[in-house]
Amino acid sequence: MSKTANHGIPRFRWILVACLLASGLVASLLYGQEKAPAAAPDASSDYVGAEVCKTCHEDMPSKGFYKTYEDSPHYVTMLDTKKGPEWHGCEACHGPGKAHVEGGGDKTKIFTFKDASAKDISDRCLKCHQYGQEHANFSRSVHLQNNVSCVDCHSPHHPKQAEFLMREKQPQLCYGCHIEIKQQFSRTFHHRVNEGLVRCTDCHNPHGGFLTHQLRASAAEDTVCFKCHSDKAGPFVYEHEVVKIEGCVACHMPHGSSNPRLLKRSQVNILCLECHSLTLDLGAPSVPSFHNQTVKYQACTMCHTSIHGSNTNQYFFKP
Amino acid sequence: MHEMNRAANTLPARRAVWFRALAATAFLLAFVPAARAQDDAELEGVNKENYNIKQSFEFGGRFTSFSGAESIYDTFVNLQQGPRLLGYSVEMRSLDHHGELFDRLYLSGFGYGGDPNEASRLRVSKNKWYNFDVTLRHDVNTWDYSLMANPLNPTAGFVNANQGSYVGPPGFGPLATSTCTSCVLTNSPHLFNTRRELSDYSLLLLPESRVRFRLGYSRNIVAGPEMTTYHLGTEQALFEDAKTTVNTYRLGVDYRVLPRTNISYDEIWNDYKGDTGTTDQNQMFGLSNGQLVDLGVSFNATANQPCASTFTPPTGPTGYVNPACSALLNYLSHGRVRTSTPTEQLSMQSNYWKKVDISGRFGYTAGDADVFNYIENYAGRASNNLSNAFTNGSVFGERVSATGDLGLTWHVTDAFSFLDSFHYSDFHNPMQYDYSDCSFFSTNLITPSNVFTPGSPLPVTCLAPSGPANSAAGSVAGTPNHTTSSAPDLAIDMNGGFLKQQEFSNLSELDYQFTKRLGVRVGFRYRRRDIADNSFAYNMEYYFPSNANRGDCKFTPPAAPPAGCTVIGSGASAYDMFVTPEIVYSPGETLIHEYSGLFGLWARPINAWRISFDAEVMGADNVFTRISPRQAKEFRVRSTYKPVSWFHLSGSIRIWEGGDDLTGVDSHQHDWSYGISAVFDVNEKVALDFSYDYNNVYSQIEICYPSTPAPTGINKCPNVTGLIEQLSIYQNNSNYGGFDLMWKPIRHLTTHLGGNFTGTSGSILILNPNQEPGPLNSKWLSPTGGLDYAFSKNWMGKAYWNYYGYHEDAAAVPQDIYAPRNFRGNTVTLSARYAF
Repeated sequence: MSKTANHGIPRFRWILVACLLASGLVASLLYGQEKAPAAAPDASSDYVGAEVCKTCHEDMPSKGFYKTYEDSPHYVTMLDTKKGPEWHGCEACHGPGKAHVEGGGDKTKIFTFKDASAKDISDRCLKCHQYGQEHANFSRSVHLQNNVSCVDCHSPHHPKQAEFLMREKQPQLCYGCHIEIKQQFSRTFHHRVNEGLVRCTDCHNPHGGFLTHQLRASAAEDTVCFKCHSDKAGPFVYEHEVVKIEGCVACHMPHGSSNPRLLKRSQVNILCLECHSLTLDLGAPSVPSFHNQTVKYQACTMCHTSIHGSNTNQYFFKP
Repeated sequence: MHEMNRAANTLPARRAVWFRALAATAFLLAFVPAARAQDDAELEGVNKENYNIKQSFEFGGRFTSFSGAESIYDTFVNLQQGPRLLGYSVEMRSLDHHGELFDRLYLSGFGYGGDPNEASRLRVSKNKWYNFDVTLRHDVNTWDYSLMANPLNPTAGFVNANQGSYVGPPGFGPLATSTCTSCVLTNSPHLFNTRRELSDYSLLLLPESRVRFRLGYSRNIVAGPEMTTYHLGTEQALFEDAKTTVNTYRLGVDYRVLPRTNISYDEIWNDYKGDTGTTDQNQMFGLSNGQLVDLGVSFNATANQPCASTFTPPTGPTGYVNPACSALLNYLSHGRVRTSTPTEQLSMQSNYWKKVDISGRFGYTAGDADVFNYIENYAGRASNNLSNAFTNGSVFGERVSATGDLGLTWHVTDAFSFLDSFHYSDFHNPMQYDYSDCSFFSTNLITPSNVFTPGSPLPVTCLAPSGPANSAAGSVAGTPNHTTSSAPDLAIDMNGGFLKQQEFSNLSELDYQFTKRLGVRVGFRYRRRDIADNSFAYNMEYYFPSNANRGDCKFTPPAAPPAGCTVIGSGASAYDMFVTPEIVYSPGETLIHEYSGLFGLWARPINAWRISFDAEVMGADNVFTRISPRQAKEFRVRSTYKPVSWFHLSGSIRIWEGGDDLTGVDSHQHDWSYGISAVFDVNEKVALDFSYDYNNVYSQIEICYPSTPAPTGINKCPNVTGLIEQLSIYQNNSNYGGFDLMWKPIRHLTTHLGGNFTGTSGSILILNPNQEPGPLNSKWLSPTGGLDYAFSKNWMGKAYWNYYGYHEDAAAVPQDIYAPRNFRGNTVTLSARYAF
């Protein structure tokens, strides 16, 4: 085992990053924006342009309806001069509007989100928003698999929270379906979601991910808990293996608990004894015979304080 | 116990506070004109130059009063009184979508001025050029739940005789029969009062171009005082000055290499610094030589804790600490923890082929973990005559991990899809701790250590303790006073640990959408985990006289010394040297295969009604811990009904059950949740939000533990001599109810009434007669009410009341009497809000 004296970033990584940045800059200058066939609406096109939509929808279905689009980030599609009309304005989401206009506003002649399936809705949004790690897995996400679409959480026209066009702020938005989670965060010991310090999206990616429960991971692909609780990440000479193998949820209830330290049991010794009772073929050591439970040792962590791992003591007596 | 600062709150002061709060509220309501304030969603803002600007800020103050356990109030609520910037928001939008520096800006924050939770969030963007996000959070984490890590000292006192000559610090004695009213700990020995500063910065350049650049930085600082305990003879109470800092840097580039195909590369550096130091500042009891010692936190005269005859020394005046006790004179430990983990990550996403979505992520981390200049200095008395110990060492090692994820969705037809998710991860953490430890020995706390000088130089020079000559912290030349079980006088050790897990999992699913109102999916997940751990120890130890033939050199002449042990010198100055003859590794491996079947169904019979059902059934051929289930099943049902725009009803059921029928384990667990929620958003004048949830948690498992005296009728543990076996049953039932009513009786006045109420009941196997259920039988009530009064178009006055009530059912044990945890708190928040 080597002992690394230098704690700086290895030189080759700097060189690699510099090369990547340089090549990226050159590529962006050479290629710039994606080139798409220029296709302004003309008489033969099925697209009519947002200004035509505005003639009817300026105040319909509600007063100032078109302005909600004008003021929203989606208006940026109108500023594009390189892509075709299918990427611009209202028709970028609702599809070509010529038949709808010629039909006198026939709703069946245009895509309406109200009656569409979650998959169809999401396909439309992902046409622009699929790139990037945040949304890359939405097609396999638990939300989409349960018919939850983008517009169930986002409202392009009437957001209650302008940032990210959300229908409702967190955590109330999530509580609307995840009722059982609301009661967990209302318990005495809880992560401060209701207080606004922590958001559901700090730990979970609502757009899906590679891990179960749509959990995020830390930068080093470790459990997301270590982003804030970094002192528990280790590595340690003496690992409490269950922390790294089974995860923090082996002992803790991450949303909230009536038990202190968000533990699964109200008494620490019972929690420890559930694993540290010797059973054949299971490795956790048993409690020694001098740990008389009736007199003291009710809280194992009184002595085994560094229970998440220790660098200096095999019994976790000290860090 | 080390004291921590808290806000002062005397009873007369609280009454004055209440009067001022009520008077201020009455003034606000009576002497301002009525007008209708705009909701945030209606705010039009002002147009200035090229920007539409909406802004709001709310400033005011909190008035707080409480009765009962202040430490528990601080742990749960921690709202103190004082002025506050309760909230602010700024939203700016360029009118022509071509702002000079930015097109959009969102800034919001809350809690400034003294609340335990403060946060600010900023998002700035300029079309096509950049998106910049910042989150700043400050968190005050006060923890003092008295039952946590509490030794549950009984009230039985320490009897001292011949008190007349006692002259010492306060505490025990000088009464003829001292009662131990202070034996019961009223604070948690592991209390803390730390602050966490979290800041996250993220910059995305050229968000719409084919090549995008990402820069990110995060910083996480935790600092503050903590208490902990250290087991060395007894459980000493130690003070920690916590300080950890994490810096994370991120550089990334996205490249749209093909139509609808994106590749990203990220370089992430994570640097962790831990600089927490530990000292003993709990020396509260006196020795006859005038020195103060820390006797720890466990006081039980019947059980001879901290020691037999704690305040009755065999000689000299009583009332002083028995010098034969285990106690700390002083303690210091510190080490600089430095962990650097760079990560390379390559990810991709593509639906280049219209019917196939692919996403993938591959990462590699190779980091270093070190503890530099670790020192630990101990002076006192522990078991086997240890009186001083000086440790110097360092830790080094690595964290190496590789992860790979690949996801595929094949839209076979418009209705039928095949989905597959593959996950691979492999981490291993080889770590090593090298240290030297010099130990000195004395028969008691007031006798200096005898220092032995070997005939030949040793690899490490041990400096003799330099404390007072009449104390174990001091030293004189002589033969050390070892017991036959004393530790080595000098130890030079290398200890290594290694943990590894390799994991494969694959989830395949078939998804079929019958109509746009009904869909179903089935799936299968296979997961394989290969877990390995190993350890080794290499020791070089020196055993000085007296009792040099001890420990790894335990032998009785004329028998030969054990392997690795060498006797150096002869006669009274002979000492033993031990070197590990052969490094022994202790490998362990666990292989686990898990198989899961999944089923899901969603339906939307009418537009207003949605239902979803998920089920997963899992079986495993092995487990890593006794509490991990070999069989588990989970069912979830969710439904929402929204027949009209102002009424929304939703419900959820979650049932999880698992267990392990292995002989000697007999584990069965379940977690059931049933919840319902209704929202009546009738109009701008009335709205009601109501929710209820019932949660039932049950667990049973066989446990083995030592118990003296052993309860009657309990079986002996079949696998470990001296232990008894019992079925440990844990039950926790929780009822949660919450509501929020908004009513606008007149145009300028809005009233609010609501609250969250949680009642918890249950039971757990009680092993210590001084234990009690504690939070397992408790109520947590937090009703709230308030008024919003719009006294102009832009100005609003607000008055809110919050109640916090926590109650645990008493079990008539000393903890309930001397360390009650119930409290009632009231907070009135008065504020003015300006918005445009």
